[in-house]
Amino acid sequence: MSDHVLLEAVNLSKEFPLSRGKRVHAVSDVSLKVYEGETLGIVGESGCGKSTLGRLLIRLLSPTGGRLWFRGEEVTSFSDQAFSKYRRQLQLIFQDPYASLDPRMTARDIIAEPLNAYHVCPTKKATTERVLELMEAVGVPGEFLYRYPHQFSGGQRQRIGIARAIAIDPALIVCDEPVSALDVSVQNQILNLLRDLQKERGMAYLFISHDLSVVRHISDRVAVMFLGTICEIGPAKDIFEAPQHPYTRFLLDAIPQPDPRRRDEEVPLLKGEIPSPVNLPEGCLFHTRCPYATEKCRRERPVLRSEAGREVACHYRVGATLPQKNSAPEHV
Amino acid sequence: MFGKKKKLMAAGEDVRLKSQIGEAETFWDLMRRLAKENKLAVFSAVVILLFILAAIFAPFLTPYSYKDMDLLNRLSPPSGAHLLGTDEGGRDILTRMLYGSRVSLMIGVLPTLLGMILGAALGIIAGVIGGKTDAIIMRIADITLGFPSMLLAMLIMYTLGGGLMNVVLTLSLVNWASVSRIVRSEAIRLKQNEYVEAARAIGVKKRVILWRHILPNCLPTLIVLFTLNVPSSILTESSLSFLGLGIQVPDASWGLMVNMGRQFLYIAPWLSLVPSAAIMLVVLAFNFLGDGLRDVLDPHQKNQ
Amino acid sequence: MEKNMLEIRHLSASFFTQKGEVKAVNDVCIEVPKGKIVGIVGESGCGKSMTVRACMGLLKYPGRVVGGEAWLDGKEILSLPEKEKCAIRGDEIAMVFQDPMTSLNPVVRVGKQVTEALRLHRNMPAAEARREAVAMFEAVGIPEAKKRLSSYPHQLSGGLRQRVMIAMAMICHPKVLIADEPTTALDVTVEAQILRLMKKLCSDGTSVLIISHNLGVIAQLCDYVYVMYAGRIVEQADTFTLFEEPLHPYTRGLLSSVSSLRRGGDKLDTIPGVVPNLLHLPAGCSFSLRCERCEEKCRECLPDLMDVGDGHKVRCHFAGRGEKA
Repeated sequence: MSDHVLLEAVNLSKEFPLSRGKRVHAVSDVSLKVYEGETLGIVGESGCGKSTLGRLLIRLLSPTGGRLWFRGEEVTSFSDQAFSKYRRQLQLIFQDPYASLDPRMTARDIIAEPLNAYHVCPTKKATTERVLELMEAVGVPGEFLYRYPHQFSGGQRQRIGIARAIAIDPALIVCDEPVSALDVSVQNQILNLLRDLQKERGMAYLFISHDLSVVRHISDRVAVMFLGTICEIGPAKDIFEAPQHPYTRFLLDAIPQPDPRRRDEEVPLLKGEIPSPVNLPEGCLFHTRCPYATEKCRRERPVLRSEAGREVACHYRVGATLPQKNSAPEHV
Repeated sequence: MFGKKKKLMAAGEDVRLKSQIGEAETFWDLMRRLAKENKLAVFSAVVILLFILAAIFAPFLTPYSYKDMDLLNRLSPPSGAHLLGTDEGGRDILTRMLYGSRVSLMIGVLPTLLGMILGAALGIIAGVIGGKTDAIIMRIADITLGFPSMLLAMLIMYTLGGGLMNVVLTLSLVNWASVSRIVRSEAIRLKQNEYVEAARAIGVKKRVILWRHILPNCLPTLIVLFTLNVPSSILTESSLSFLGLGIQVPDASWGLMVNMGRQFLYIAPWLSLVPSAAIMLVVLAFNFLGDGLRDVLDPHQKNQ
Repeated sequence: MEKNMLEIRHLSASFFTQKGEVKAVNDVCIEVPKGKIVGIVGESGCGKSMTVRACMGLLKYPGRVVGGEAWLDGKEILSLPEKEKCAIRGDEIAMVFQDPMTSLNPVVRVGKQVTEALRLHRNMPAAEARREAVAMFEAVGIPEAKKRLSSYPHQLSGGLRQRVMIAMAMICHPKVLIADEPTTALDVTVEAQILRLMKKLCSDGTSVLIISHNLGVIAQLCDYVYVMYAGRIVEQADTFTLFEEPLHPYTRGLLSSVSSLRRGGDKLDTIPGVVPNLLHLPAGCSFSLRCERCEEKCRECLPDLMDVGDGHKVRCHFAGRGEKA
């Protein structure tokens, strides 16, 4: 991890139009930086806009507001044509290893696709050799070169997806829930692989997941999202051990602990459900579920304020004042 | 399926690679697998081939002429001299059926294929590009579909005149619209797949995405559409002939023969039954062959 | 020990495919005592869903029960004719599915869907059924219960839909509630609410059989746990014993996968290899291909489910000796 900023977003927003003039506010006013070689985790519940944010950052979607820099150059208004020189620097790994590989292509053709798109290898033979190297790097045996996706297990499929993403040495890979569809035992294999590849190749990850333990394990820094906004961002250790935003606290406390001795702990539960992203509440977006909300929260939307390396969007930083429960389990 | 041939060449350049990882499947491997797994499809292919050969070599297969009348032998039932009987003009039905296969096979396959290519191309473009392009193509398709197809065919035929090639053209123009509608919805479904997004993230050009990801995955739908459209083309041709717009007596086509035989259905049923049986045989053969091809092209059916 | 409300005895079920028989459930015995929550844990394809579907009589073609019995409160239900099975389903034994969106009919108001079982099994008049439904909605924590009856499924959030599903299953006060991954499709904060609700139901006397791949859910909820692997039970024990002294290498692998993730550090613990193909199961222990301790014996003969004391049973040749985790 270095101090060089790879990607910077300022007040990035994305709205999707609905019928009758309504709009879904998928991402609202998100500002963040991704540094070269780091892993930035993005956590949040379904519908919080984390996948949309990931796609905005690598310009698979164009924002409806805000600005985006890549290595110091503003690319917000670039056309697809103009952006194509950065395209290969930004890759994507998907959640569903079944849907993200074309069922009619062999493993070789899938992994060769980026190589062919950028004419990396001069001949077909060289391409095949390179594909074999990549397969070895991600731990898929070379004799499966001409197999089709359905002949692989979920874990192997995800490995092929990873091989496709690293084939052209990107600077940033957006991993969109890369292990959520996998079984626990396989999930860890993939997480280990991602970490090893990062050590070897030095790319940055934007790691999107709803699973807090996974994000905690792999991330250097973590951003917690709620309803299209970031409510807290900072070093992973700090976020998980001393959350300052009340939402982060509740999120951490809600995880069912795989330890039957801790089942009788009275865990505070969040009441109600996430408000609709079509009609955003006034004031703090979290106030409808927050037990500590005051008049000020209902009126005024807090912005991310930086304090000692942590940015928190809460008027009171309530999380810090609450007693610790699940947030710091058996960390040594 | 032809892409796979290239792959073998790529791997074939390196013997070491080949022995280590096996080979990609070539077109001929595919055919061999079809032959092994689906006997019915092979049988169907043979039937179609026989019909094509019969169409080509018709003059050598029968001593009779397809158009000269023999009024002494009108409506004679199947016999040693006329294996499948004669029609109301005393013409040998077997002969007319053989000659009719020239027209009917061409009318069944060619407009279907042309309509298919046109419809698939426009449907995929409309589905993937969307927006105004989609709206324009689909409105044209809607108009074509909304117009009674017989009326449309008559319009085109009146303007261009009769003749085989004009029938082919007419039927192609009737066929494309429904194909394009179906292919468009398929393309819209396919383009939402994550592997298409993955290709976009890589920076693969739209044109290549169409060709490599959307089209091959439309293939099963196209094959089914093809097998459905062949018989309907054959039958539409017969209606056109009936209206005096397509093939005219004494020329022969199956549809025409069925139609002409209808008036004699009670006294000489073979007039209609023989060409009907031929149509059924060809249509079934195309169906089975299509099913076989679809299965053999489906990677899920492959066992390694 | 309380009497068993549901007892599955030597259940086997297979899919009959073109390629051969897929033995998805193999000689599975499960007991659900009255008023307890029993869990089945395992990875995808281990046969856990198939087990409960088989005893509900809900197997889809080409799946079929090959052998075994299922006793519901002293009555064998697998051999019943289809008509009597229908009478039991939704009345004495009910099921909650993973995805509340696809298991509710999108074009029928939820009130109608919930009261359907009452009118079917109890022949209850509509007005009375409605009152029952409102009471049940309140019991499962649906706010504005009366109003919600006339909602369509898409108007409800995921958590509410799952509560509706639970209300639907509970409306006839079944003896046994089967929940197949009831919280997998939900967010953590909502999951916690649903788990609390399930606990409450159980303290009201319903016996619950819950299926999950999430060890956290199992640890928080269950009194007794069965671990399934490749169609067989490989270990069973009460929850505390299982989490503290797992004996089967697969259970240990699962637990250490989860705990190493939470512990942090560089390398995560994994179970090497992949789940074996159910069409070609190894001759001996089905875990032998991935097991570190695998010996000749493991490859050749299938170990029995051995009792090592206190109802703790393990299907491993090395159970009872060797180090404990």
